[in-house]
Amino acid sequence: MSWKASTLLAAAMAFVIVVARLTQDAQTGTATWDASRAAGFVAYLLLWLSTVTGIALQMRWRPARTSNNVLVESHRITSVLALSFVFAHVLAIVLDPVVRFSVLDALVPFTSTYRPLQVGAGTLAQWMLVTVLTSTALAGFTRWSTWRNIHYISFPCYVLSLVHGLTAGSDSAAPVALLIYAATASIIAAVSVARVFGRNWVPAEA
Amino acid sequence: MTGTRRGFGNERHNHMKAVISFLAGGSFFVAWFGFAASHGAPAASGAVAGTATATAPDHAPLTTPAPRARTSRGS
Repeated sequence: MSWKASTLLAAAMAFVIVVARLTQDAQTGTATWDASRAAGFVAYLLLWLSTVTGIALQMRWRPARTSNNVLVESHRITSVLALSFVFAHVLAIVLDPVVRFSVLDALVPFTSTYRPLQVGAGTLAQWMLVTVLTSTALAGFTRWSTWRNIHYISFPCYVLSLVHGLTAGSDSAAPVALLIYAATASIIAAVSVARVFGRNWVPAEA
Repeated sequence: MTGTRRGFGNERHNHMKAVISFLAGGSFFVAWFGFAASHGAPAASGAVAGTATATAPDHAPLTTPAPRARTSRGS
């Protein structure tokens, strides 16, 4: 279900983005640029949700009257959906007639002429997400420890996506964007501290 | 995800996933139209003020996409 829904959504977004590219003005049109910005924001928020639910699963946190399965499935769908929106983000920027961003720039880190480090951070995060999702899809064929070690990549993946969003985008200075980044990064920092140091906590009665 | 719940087999709560997918897709289109609305219709502004032809020379000499994006795009 997760892959089907995400593939369907990615196909729908790709169709709309291509139509927007074909109908926008080659000199002044901003449809693909705006689509890339929107997809980037949604991808970031989905990646954030996926990271938070993943940590919550590991820490066995969940809202009251919510089953563990709900959290597991939320973690699955948000992570796969994030990849769909990364695809839309990249597709829109590659198709944009003004910002000449090539497929190679999108696939190979640090090759972009525009802010190579900042854009490269996003490209690296993209491949980290692909790696984590691929390892999960193939989890039935690998040892649990291997899958878990690969899954730790999701932490630098989130950090790199945050750095990419903060430094590579044109919306970084916008108050709303800064508020979103600050709030989400603070929550990740708090739960990460709990994740790293909390596993050594011993209940009082133990 | 631990134990037998690793991977993408045996998925549950499909209705919830459909709702999350719908919300994510809706958020994308709302954000897209929000960004588009924030800088107005480019064709109209160009037609009214003649900026379409006026801004073109600023774009042409630049060799990297960054300045073009920074000068002509953004919120």
